[in-house]
Amino acid sequence: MAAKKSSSIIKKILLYLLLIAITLFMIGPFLWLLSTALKSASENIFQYPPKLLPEEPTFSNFGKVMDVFPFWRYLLNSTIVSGLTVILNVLFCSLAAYPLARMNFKGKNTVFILILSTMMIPFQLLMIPVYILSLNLGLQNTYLGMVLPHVTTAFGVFLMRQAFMTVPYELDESARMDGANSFQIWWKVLMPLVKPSLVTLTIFTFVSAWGDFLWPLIIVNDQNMFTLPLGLNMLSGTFTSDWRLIAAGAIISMIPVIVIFLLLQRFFIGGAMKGAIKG
Amino acid sequence: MKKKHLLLAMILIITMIFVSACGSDDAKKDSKDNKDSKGKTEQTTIEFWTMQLKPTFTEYIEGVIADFENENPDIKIDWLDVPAADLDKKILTAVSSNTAPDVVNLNPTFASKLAELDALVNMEEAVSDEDKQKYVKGAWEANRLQDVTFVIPWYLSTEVTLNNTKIYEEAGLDPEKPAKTYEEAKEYSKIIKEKTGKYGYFPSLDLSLVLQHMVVMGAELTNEDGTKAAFNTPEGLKAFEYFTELYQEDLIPKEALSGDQRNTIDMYQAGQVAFFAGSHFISQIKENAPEIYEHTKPSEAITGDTGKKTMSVQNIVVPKQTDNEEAAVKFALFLTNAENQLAFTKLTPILPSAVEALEDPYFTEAGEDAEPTDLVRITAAGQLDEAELLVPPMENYDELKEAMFDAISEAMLGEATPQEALDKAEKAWNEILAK
Amino acid sequence: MRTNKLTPYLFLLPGCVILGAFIFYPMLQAIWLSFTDYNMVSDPEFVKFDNYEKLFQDELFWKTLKNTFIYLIGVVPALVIIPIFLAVLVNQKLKGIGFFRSAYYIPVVTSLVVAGIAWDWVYKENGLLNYVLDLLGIIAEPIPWLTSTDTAIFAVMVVTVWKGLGYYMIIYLAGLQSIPTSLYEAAQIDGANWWQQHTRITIPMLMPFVLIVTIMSSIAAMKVFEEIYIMTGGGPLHASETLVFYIYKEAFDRLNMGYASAAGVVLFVLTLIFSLMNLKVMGKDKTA
Repeated sequence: MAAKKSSSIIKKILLYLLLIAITLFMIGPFLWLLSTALKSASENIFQYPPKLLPEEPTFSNFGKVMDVFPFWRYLLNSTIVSGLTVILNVLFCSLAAYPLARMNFKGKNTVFILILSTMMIPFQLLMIPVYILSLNLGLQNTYLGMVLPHVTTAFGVFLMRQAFMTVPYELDESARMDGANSFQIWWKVLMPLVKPSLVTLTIFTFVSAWGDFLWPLIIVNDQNMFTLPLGLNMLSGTFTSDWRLIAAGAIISMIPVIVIFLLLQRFFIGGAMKGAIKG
Repeated sequence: MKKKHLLLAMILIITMIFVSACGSDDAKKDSKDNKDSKGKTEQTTIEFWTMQLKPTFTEYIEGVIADFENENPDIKIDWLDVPAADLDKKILTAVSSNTAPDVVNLNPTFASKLAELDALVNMEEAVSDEDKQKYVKGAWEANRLQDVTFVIPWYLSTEVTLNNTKIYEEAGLDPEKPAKTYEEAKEYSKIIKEKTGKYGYFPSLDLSLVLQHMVVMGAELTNEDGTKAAFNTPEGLKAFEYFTELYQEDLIPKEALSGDQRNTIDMYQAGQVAFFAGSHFISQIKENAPEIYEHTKPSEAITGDTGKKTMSVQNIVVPKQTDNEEAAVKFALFLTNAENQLAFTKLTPILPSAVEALEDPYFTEAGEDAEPTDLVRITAAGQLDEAELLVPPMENYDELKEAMFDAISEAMLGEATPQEALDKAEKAWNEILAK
Repeated sequence: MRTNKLTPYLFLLPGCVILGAFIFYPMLQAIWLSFTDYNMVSDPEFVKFDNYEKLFQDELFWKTLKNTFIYLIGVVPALVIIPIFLAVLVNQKLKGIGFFRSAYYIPVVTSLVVAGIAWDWVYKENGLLNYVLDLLGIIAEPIPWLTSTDTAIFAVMVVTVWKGLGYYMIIYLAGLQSIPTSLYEAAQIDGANWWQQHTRITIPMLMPFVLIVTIMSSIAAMKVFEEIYIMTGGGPLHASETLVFYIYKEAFDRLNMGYASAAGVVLFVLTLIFSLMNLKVMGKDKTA
């Protein structure tokens, strides 16, 4: 018994060592970022060999970043744009994914392939037609203009389709017996069961909307409508680029994403489907 | 029950979005109407885009705009500062949808591409001779393609070598005698490598710099009428051999081949390189590597047998799509007049393109407490007389540049002899020039 | 099923309207542009198959195509397999596991422009990697990872993998949640060990998610751009230049939008074929 216990402790230690080793590989560049952001003005950022620990750590760079551009205004813009994008994208994608995963209808495979195919051409080639279309729709300088092109993604539809496919069929059947219609089944039976995938899609959509740079830049001509990434880009100017500020800016823009991730990741709890199969 | 609320909320949000969409649509119409009604009182709005001047120059630009609007009450300037990395994409989408701004600050390479497509106003015609005289001649003529001058010059820079005096001293070299020629640069690099293990010279090979080096070493790029390559000469070969030798003898960092100036500046800031041409990086060095900045001593650009030195010109263009060409040119001239340029150059180490501004003592006399930044400015201004635009705008420039960079890379990597590489470049150039 | 015939289409409607307007319609326009000479300033001019002819004669195009495939082959297996292990690893009930999950996800949200500098430190001649290899006695002299024609593309691949692991890990993690614990309990009673549990339950149950990861990572690999742009600029001697980089250069450096679109259409067709093959081979799951 004791031997078993100690072997499980060793196992645990090894496990943690492994987790930590991978962590170092993953967050190495981020640590550089963090240390750069904390370095004071007298320190050489590009020193060789590089120094990870700042000599006199300071938070002043973060404050400076906020002074460079209308930080709160841009933060608000980013929040609105990302929030709308997430809500609509998650909704539209899960709606579209449902029939693709669990219904039989004419042209199903074609529709699915067509949806997938929208991922296969680089955005740079679509930019001009999308811009002209948005101009015609009067979307220039609007939040909606930044949001609409991104509120359905092939990836989202695909992910939700795969998620719906893992749900046992018996569940729909029994709900249908109880007189539920398709919409009710989708909303009441399926959506709660694919929460982990919804969370995943939420995180991913948020990250890409939050970090989107090229499209907002093109569709917006009014500096008041700029989002955070556009503001952060101002940190490396034509004649200057203070890497302390650039790093601090990068970290500031990462914080909301990490917070959202930390909040949502608790939905990844092993065996969420426990008992669901009883049906 | 709760879920019903959620659903309700969602529907609400969606309606709100559409309402707001329509709202903004109306707003747009309103502003258009406004424009029309303003048109009656002859109020014109000029859209003015710059390349990443915020936040350092916000006050300055806003000041210039306010002055201009005071002088010209019928013209309103709408200023947008665009991140440099993607200004080209923004301007292209604007031009392709016929919504180009009226006045733009573009880098010369990109401006010449637009000029090639006849998208920019010809300043030869739009600007009076009297006004033209106000600019440094070389600068006014720098951006000309087939007799069309497609820009108004804004500010200039010449190349200044930055020297890390500490490394000079470590290697037993005199920092008062920085490398002035390619030969010296090589010699110094050998000594520095031997004594300190660090690199001496880090020639940047990106942008048009390969072409520049060749011209400085005495090669002609094309024949008179620009139809054939003319660099396959002993001088051209010398340039290829020079860099190949430096590279293969490990006298310059391997990163030189990446064709990215970022590596050059990073290694200089790391104190791993003794000297490089980097006048416009001086503020960056001050910000990121203060101790290296303190040891930095600017000196005149490294040159070859020709003694040529390079000048580059930043500029202001007016796209042909503008509805208010006259007002746009007026603003461009105002922005680049001597007074405004002088004020601008006091903020950052650049040189004005206006003759009058250059006569200011600010560009000739170093104070006692002169910092490296000041010395860079004075050194740069001091060589302006001998400096010229070495690589003129050419059609299909990007392809020409790449063909040359590929060829010299092959030589440096040892995949071809310098002569073979040069032959290859010549062939490629002749094909591109024949287009 | 006795659903109304219209029902599936109603579900599809909002998404398809958006995709149709903002991606599909522009995509058709790009396809049309590929048959024109278009420089974004003057109007496009119809030139039939000229762009394609020119494209297929361009050696550089074939080279970038080859590089794209090397990229695909190098990156996709790593991004399909390693994240499964990571997902299983961080799906355990351990103290502080939330921290590790987040840490593994951090590369996804780290700006590459800034992280690129950190990677420079790794790959430099006197950088971390050469230092470690030298210490271990593996190399006699430093390798210029990013500026050697032999290594540049592989060095960039590592960055892509680094950036992608966390992303695909999350997809798998979501997939793992849908596996009923009862299956593992039953297997344990049958005496299955750790390895058997995973090969017999985890992997088969994850298949829908393996499919999506395979397809997504393949598409991403075929469209790789940012890493190349930041780390090597396609060099040296185009050794790390991929198709999308080539497209980008043609479109925005040379203003050959028509020609770039033709290259884009080729990329599109290849990606589509490859994805369909994936769907056929791996998608023999229940409904596909």
